Amino acid sequence: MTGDLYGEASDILLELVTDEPNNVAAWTALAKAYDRVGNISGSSDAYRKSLALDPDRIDTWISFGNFYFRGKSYSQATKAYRSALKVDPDNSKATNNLGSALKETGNLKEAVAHFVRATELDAGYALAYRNAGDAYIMLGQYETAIDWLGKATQVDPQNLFGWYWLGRAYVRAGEPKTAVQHFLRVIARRPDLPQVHHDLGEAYYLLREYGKAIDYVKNGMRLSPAAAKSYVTLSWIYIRLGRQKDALAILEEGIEQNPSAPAIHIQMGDIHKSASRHNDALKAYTKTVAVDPDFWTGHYKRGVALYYLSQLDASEVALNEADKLNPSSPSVKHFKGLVALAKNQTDQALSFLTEASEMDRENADILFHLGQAYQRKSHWTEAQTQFEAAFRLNPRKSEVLYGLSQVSGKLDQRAEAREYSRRFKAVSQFEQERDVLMKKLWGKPNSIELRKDLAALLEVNGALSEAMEQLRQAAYLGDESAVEELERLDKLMFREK
Amino acid sequence: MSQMFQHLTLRAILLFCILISNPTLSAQPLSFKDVAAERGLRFVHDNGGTDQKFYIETMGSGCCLLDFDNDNDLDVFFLQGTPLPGWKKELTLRNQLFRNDEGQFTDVTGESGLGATSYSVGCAAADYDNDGDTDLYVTNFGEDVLYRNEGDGTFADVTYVANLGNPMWGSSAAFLDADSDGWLDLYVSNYVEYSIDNNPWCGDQRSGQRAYCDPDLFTGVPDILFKNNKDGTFRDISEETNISNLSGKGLGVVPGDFDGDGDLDIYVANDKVMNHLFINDSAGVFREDALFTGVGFNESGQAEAGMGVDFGDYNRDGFPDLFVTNFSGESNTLYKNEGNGFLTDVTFAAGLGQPSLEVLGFGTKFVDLDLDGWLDIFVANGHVIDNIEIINPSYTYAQRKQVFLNNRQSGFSEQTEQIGGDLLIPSVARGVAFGDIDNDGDVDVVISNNGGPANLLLNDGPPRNNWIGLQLKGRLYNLDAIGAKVMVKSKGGTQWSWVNPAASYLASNDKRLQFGLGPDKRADEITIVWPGGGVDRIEKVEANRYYLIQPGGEISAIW
Repeated sequence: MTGDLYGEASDILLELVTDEPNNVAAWTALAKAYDRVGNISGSSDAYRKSLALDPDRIDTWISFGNFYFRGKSYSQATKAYRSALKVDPDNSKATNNLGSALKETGNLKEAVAHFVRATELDAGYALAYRNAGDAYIMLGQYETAIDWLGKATQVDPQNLFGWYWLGRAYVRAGEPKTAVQHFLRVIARRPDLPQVHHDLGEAYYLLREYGKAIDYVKNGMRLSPAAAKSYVTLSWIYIRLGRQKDALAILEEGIEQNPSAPAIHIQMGDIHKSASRHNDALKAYTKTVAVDPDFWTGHYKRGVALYYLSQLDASEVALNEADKLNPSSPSVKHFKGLVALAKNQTDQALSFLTEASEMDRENADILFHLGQAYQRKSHWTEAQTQFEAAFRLNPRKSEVLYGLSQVSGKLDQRAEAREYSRRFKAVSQFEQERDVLMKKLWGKPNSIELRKDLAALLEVNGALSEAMEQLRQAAYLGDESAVEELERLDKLMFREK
Repeated sequence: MSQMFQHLTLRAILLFCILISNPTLSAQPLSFKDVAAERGLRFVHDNGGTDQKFYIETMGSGCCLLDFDNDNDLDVFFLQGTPLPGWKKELTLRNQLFRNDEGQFTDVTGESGLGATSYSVGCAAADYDNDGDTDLYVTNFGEDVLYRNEGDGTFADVTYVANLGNPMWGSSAAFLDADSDGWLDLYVSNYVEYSIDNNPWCGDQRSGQRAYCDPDLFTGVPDILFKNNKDGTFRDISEETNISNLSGKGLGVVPGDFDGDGDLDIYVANDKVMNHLFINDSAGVFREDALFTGVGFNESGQAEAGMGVDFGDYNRDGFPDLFVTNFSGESNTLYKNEGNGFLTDVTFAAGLGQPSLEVLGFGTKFVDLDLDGWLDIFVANGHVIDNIEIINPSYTYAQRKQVFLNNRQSGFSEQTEQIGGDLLIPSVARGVAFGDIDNDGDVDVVISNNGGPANLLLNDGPPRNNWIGLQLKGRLYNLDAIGAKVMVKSKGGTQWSWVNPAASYLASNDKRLQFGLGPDKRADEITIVWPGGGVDRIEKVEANRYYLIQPGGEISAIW
C-alpha cells in the first residue's frame, strides 16, 4: 500500500471508529494506518484506545511495542512488550522483541536471556538465534556468538542474513578466513548488497590481502556511493599501505558523495593528526562539528587538535562542549586536565584527571598525567603512587619511567631513581629511533629498506607483532626476503607463546 | 677613594648626576627602542638561500659583544651567511665588526681582518692567550676559525697555528677553564651531519610545498673540547674527557658550576635529542648526567628542540638555574636547581609554559632588565620554516620578542604587550647578545635576524632602579675571570651571579656583571669567589657605577 492509500485507509477507519467507538479491531487498524503515514500522536492515541477497550489483545501490545521501537523509544517499547507478556508469558515474538528493546538500551545480559527464552519457546525462530548471537558479539563473547549464529543458519539455511551475521561474528572473533567464506556465500546469491562487499573487504584487509580488500570495499562503494563506512575503511587500508595521499583522496571523494557524514571528516582529521598536521586535523574536526553539532566526538577531537596547536582557550571551550554532550567520557576529562595543566591551573587539572582516572583505571596516560599534576604541586608521594599505577599498566611507557626516576630522586630514593633513569633511557632511545624511521617512512612509504630497518629495530626491542606488520608491508611491496623473515618471526612468536 | 675615581670620565660623572637627581626612577616602565640604523649598526644577515631549502639557511647566525679595543665599551661582531647554490645577488657577504664610538657604531671590518666570507654561524669571545685583549672564535658551516686579537685593532687568523680544527657544523662555543689551570679551554657544540650536496626534499607532499627538513632526518655529532696548551696552541681532548663519547645535536652551550663543587660543568641544549650536562670531576674530565639530574628532558620525559640556553639564580637561593628555549608547540623550559644535585622542570609552575607554546625561541638570557634585583628573562623568537604560514597558519615565521619579569615569588609574568614598542615588531630572531651597550647600567639587546637587518634594542631611558656594574679581571691567568662567582648583598637581599659571556644562542655576551639594587643606594657587601678558589669581600660600594675588581679585593671605578 502506498502512502496515499494508507491516508485513504486512515480516513475510512476514522469514520468507522467514529461510528463504532468500541470497535477494537478498527482502532488497532487506525493506529497502524496513522503510523504508516507518520501521524505519530494519532497512532499512539489509537493504540491506547484499542488497548483500553481490550487490554488482553497480545498482537496489539506487540504492535504498540514495535511502534515505539521504530521511533527509538526503547523504554516505552519495553513496557509494551512486557504488557504483552503479561497477557501470554509464552509468546515467543513478544519475548524476542523485548530482548531487542533491552539490547538497544544496553541491557545486554537481560536481552540475551529473552532471546534464548524465545528460541526455547519456538525452536525454529531464526531471528531470535541471530539476535542472541548479535548480543553475544556486543558482549565480546565471540565464540558463543558464533554458536548462536550458526544455529540460526541451521534453522533457516536459506536466510542470507544468518550467514552474513555469522561472517561478521567470525571477523570479530579474529577468524577472518572463515568470515570470508560466509560473506562469499552471501554474495554469490545476492551480489547487490553493499554492506556485505564492504565487510568482505574488511575481512580481506584483516587477512592482509590488500588487493582483494580494496576491490571489495570499492564494490560496496559502487553499490552504495553515499555509505560513509566504505570510504573510511578504504582510507584505513591505504594508510596501512603507507598510501596517505590515496587515503586522503578517497575521503575527499566520500565527502563529495556524502558531505554530512561525520565519520569521514573524523577519519580525515585523524589521518592529519597522526602526521602531526594539527591545523588540517582541526579543519576536518571543525567540519564534523558543523555537520553534526550534537556529535560529542567531533567536539572532543576538535578540542584535542586545538590543544596540540597551543590554542588552549579554544580547546577548553570545545572540550567543555564535548563534556556537556557526553559527561561520562574519561578521554574528555583527561584532555580538560591537560589543558588545565598547560594553563598552570594545577588544582583544576587534579580534579579533572582524578575524575578521568576514576572513570578509566586502565589508562596509563591518564594516571601518568595525574601523577604529573601531583608533581607540579610537589606532592611527591602521591605522584609516585600514580606513576607506579601507570607503570603496572605499561612498564615500557617512557614518560612514566621518567616520572618515576624524577620523583624517586625527590624522595631521596637514589638507587630507584638511577634504575628508572636507566630503563627510561633504553626505552626513550628506542622510541626516538623508531620515530625517526617512521618519519622517514612518511616521506618514502614504498621504501622496502626503511620498512626492514624499522622491522629489525622493533624486533630487537621485543615488539614482534609490529615488526611483522612492517615485514608484511615490505612483502606486499614485493620484497621476497621479507616473506622468509616473516616465517622466522612467526616461529619465534609461536615459541614465545 | 682617589683610585676609584681615576677612571671616571666627564660623561660618566654627568650620567651619575642625572641618576642621583632622579629619585622616582623605578616608577618608569620598561621600554625598548630599536636604534640599530640610527646608531650605524647596519648589518643585514643573508642566509645565502634560494628555493632549495638548504638546511643551513634556517638556523641563522649569531653575534658577539666584545670590547676588542679595550676602550670600555661594547663593540659588536656579526656573523654572516654565504651564497649557496642558486643564489644570484650582487653582494659580497662577509662577517662584520662594528666599533662603538661613544654610542655610534662604525664598520671597521676592513681593517680588523674579521671580514671572512665563510658561512659563519656562532662566536665566542674571550682572552684565551692571557695577553689582555679579547680574542674571537668563529664557528662555521665548514672549518671554524680562531682570531687572535693583535692589540692594535686587528685580528689574525691563527686557527692553523693554534691547532684548532673543527670541520663539523659548529654552532655555539664557549671559553672556559675546564681543568682549572688558569688558561681558557674551548668547548664547541656541533650540530648535525649535513652537506649541501645531500639536501633531501622535505615538506607537504600533497601541496608540493617544500620546507626545511626536520632535524630528525640528520644524524647528530659529538661536540669538541680543546685544551689550551698555554702556548697559543690547543689540543683536542674530547675523547679523554668523555665529551666525544656522545653524539648530540648541539645548538646552545653554557659552562657553569651546576653541582656547586667549584669547577665548571657544561650544559648543552640539543635539538630534539636529550640535552647534555657534563659534570666536571675537578680535573677536567666529564661525566654526562643530564638524565639523572633532571635536565635532559622536559617534565614529561620528552626531548625538546633546545636552541638557546642560559643559567642564572632567578630565585636568589644561590644555585644556578637553567633556562632553555625550544620549538613552537613545546614550552621553553626552566629547570630549578634544588641545590642537592637535582634540577626540576618548573616551567609551568613558574608561568613560563603557556606563553611560549605559540612561539619558537632562540636567543635568550636571564637578565635583570628593570634592575629590581631579580633576574628576568628575555627571549627572541622566530620560526624555522619560512613558509610556515602556508603549511600551518597557526604560526608565523617572524615573531615577537618576549620579556618575562620576575614576580619575586619563584615565578614570572610576561610583560611583552605592556612594554610594547619595538619589542612587538616581529622578526626572525636567531643569535642574540646581551650587554650594556650605552654603559648606563641596564642591559641592552643585539639581535641577529635570519635573512634580515639586525636590531639593537636599547633598554631605553634612564635606568629604573639603582645598579652596580662589575668587571672582574684575573691576574696573570684567566684574565676574564670566567667562572668567578659574585655575591652582592644590599638591603633588598642577596643576589648571586657568575662571570660567563657564553650563553644565549650562537652568541657571546657582555662579560661584565650588572646587578640591580632596586631603591638601595649601595651594595653593603660584595663577595667574589675567584676561579681557583680565592675569595675577596668588599664592603659598602656605591651604586650606579661600573667597577673593576681584581684579586686581592682591589676595586676601582671605571665609569
